[in-house]
Amino acid sequence: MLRTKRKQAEQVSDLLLQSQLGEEERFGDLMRRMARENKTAVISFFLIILMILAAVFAPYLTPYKENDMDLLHRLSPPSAEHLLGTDEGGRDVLTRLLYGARVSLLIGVVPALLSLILGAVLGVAAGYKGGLTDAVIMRLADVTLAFPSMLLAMVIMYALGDGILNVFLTLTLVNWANVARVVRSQTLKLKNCEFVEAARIIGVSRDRIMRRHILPNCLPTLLVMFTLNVPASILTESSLSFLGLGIKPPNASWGLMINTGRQYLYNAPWLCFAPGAAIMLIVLAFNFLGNGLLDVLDPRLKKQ
Amino acid sequence: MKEKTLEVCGLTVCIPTEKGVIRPVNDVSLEVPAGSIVGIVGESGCGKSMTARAVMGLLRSPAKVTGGSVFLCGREITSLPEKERRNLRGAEISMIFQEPMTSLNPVMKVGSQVAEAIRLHTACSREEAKARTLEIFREVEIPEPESRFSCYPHQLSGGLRQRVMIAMAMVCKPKLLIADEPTTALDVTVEAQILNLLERLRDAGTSVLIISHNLGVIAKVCDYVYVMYAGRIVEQAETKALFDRPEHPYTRGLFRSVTSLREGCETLETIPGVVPNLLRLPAGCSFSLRCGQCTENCRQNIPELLETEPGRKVRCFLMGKEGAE
Amino acid sequence: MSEYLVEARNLTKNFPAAGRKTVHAVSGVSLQIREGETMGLVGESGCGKSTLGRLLIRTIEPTSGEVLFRGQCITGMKDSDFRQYRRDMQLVFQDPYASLNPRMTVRDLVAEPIETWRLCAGRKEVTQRVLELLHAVGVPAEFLYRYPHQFSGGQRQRIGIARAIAADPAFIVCDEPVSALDVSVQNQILNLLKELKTTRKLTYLFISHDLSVVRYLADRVCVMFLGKVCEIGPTAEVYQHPLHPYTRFLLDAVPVPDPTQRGKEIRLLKGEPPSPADPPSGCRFRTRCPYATERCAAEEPALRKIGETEVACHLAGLLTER
Repeated sequence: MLRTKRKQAEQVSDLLLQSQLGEEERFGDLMRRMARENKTAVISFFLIILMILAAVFAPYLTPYKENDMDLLHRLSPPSAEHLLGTDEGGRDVLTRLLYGARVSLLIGVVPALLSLILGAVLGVAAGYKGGLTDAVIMRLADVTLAFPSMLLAMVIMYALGDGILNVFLTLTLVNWANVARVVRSQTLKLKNCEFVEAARIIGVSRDRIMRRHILPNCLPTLLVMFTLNVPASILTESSLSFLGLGIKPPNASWGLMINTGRQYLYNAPWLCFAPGAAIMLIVLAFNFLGNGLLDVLDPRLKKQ
Repeated sequence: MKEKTLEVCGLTVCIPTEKGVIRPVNDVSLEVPAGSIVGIVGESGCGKSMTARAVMGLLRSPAKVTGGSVFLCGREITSLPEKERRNLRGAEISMIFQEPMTSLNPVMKVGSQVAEAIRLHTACSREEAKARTLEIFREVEIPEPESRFSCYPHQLSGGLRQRVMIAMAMVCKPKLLIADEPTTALDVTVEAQILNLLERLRDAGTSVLIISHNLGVIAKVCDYVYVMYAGRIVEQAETKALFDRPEHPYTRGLFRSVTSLREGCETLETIPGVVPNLLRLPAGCSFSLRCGQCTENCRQNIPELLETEPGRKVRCFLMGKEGAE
Repeated sequence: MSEYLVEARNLTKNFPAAGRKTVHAVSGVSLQIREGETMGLVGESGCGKSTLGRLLIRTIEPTSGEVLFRGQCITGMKDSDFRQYRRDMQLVFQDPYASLNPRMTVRDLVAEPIETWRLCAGRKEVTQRVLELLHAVGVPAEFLYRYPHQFSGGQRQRIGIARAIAADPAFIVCDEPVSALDVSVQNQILNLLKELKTTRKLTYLFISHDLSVVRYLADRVCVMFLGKVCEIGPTAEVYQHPLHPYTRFLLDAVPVPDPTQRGKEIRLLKGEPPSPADPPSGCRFRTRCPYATERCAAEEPALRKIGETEVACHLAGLLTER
């Protein structure tokens, strides 16, 4: 009697549930939804892809080499031969822009990613384990944050020497502390959430809780921090290069181009505008993309 | 003919969503006679809270009233400009909510909050407002009003906070008090006290519209009851008549659920399925998918709300007939 | 081998509160639960029932006192020693949304206990077992890969229950599992809990503030007030012949869905609920009790047996009329 009643109820229940639940969302659907709802994010995404492709295929896109000097035609305005003009050494600005894209994109993305990973792991450990782990990691973070980031970057670069790998390392070491702090505070909040308590009661190990329950729920925050760190890294790098501690001339990076072009702002404004516009575009693109991803990734932020 | 404090005629609220338009309140008509307590009962998502907000003019965009009218003491209020409606709120018509903690400003003393409400609606000095506040605190039976005046919300118990809410709502002696699940978040012993208080307010001249999913609360204080389901009123009757003999299958299902629990049956009665998604309402009667007595007619057509006996209306094609179990 | 599955001996739990105060959440509670029975735990907010539930499954440690599981004292045990018991004691939460990780699919949520305790080999087997569990609780198989927010409250609660029974526990604490649900859905869940108890040989501690729900499920019921046990005994006995004044008030105060009972004079508690940070001396209920005497202020009543019920009141058995 109980069985048949339950079966009936189940059947009705099935029908109802089918009629009323929302569509399942796999990754493809998520992307499609973002495409539908947030055109700016999609444009940004393609813009970034475009920039990456331009950077990768730089040698094929321009007849000039990165450091080809042509002193006869220095500081010439944009023309048919030099689409974005030439700089103080007669080098084609567009070419340098494309080669510089490689550097700037790498400098933007890699340290941001590395500092994110380092900061997240340390932040979760500090927040969840507490005690000595927390104390040690947070003191390290405090020390890092006590110094103005430029100063710290300079000191580390000076100690490590030149080279792009050292730039990566420096920028990572400068940026991890902020991430760790934010992730730690998120962890402290999440630690008290019921689903974490549920996992503890089930008997899930501490490591697994940190990996499966805490970190994934920090993802939106991490994404936002990533989009903020990329332009920050690019800007820090350009300052370092200007001071002779990062990318050295004659190699190109957008930041370096702006800094050297500053002197010619009045007679050859294209020297600054081109890389400046490029930096602006990439910063905006990452921001918009970040926001777009944020909206679709967090299931709870979905509009009903 | 008894005077009506509140009369709602054919009220409809629409919310446009990207998947279509939903009507959380669909052609709802009800009235609250002067000096009575009227209840709206229904489960979550039936539209009872939305109805209350629409009456108060507190709908959040994109929800909008798209049809019907609301009369407060004979005066139409939905067509009034926002400024005038704001003046009515607190003065003629007031509302209290389920969770007093979120309705009160946590960083302001409760006495100040009530005094502020007073000064908003009447021109009086700070001292006068304070005196009036203490007076109202005594009316809603807040013990030691002077010391409670300077308390912050978190220092008070749930019951006291609700009393403060009621005090704030009663400041200008409104004609109508809407109570949206006023005791759901409270302990059962406190609930009894608050319901008692509402009855005393009614005796003092304020009509009450109480919204609840708890049949016990409805039975205890209401004179007349409206049952809502998926945005529509499906049954309305005097409390005693409704509890004595519910007619609509949904109401019957609800009552059976509650009774089987109280009587401790071996297996509890349930209403199979869940409340329908307003985006995917069935073509006919909204309850057809869950109704044990559903016919083909029910699936195709939406029944009207018809009077089965004086003072009672049911929205069902099969009303009055005793359905087989 | 103890006759009791779970036993609490003089459990006390204090929490530090702001302003150097302590909240006495649970004070000197002793309780026994037999295997296969459902113990109901009722009381209003602040009485300590949730805390007690969590103490019994050792997800928080008591300030003093012991908890025994199958005769073995689990309080103060090393984590590694306790681990074998962890599987046997589970919890069903009140809030069906907050207790499910919003980023995990239903499959992963229910699979977690199975994977943690390595009950199946291989992903396919785990999924199969998850499907069996979902079927047992009435969640359709098609929803295996959906996320919690795509379900209604009742369904989420079913998922939570599926997760709780996944590793075949012996003892489940149900912490207000139906309070957040509508009445028609509530009954579905209660039916489910009752059915699971028989088919899976479970023992429940059922915590609720809703007296009718507890009456339906529980074999014995324990009434708490401000961290102390007032009355404990067989459900029918306690509901029909409540001995403690607080139990009487509690039973009286429940709004009855029967308008003919409206005129009945019911007595209301006087005063305001006392704070757990500052409990009254002697009997904690005395500030609200209309029958309180001097002895009630001076001496804390101990639990004593009257018939089949145990009650902590100096005046129990002496009070005749309500």
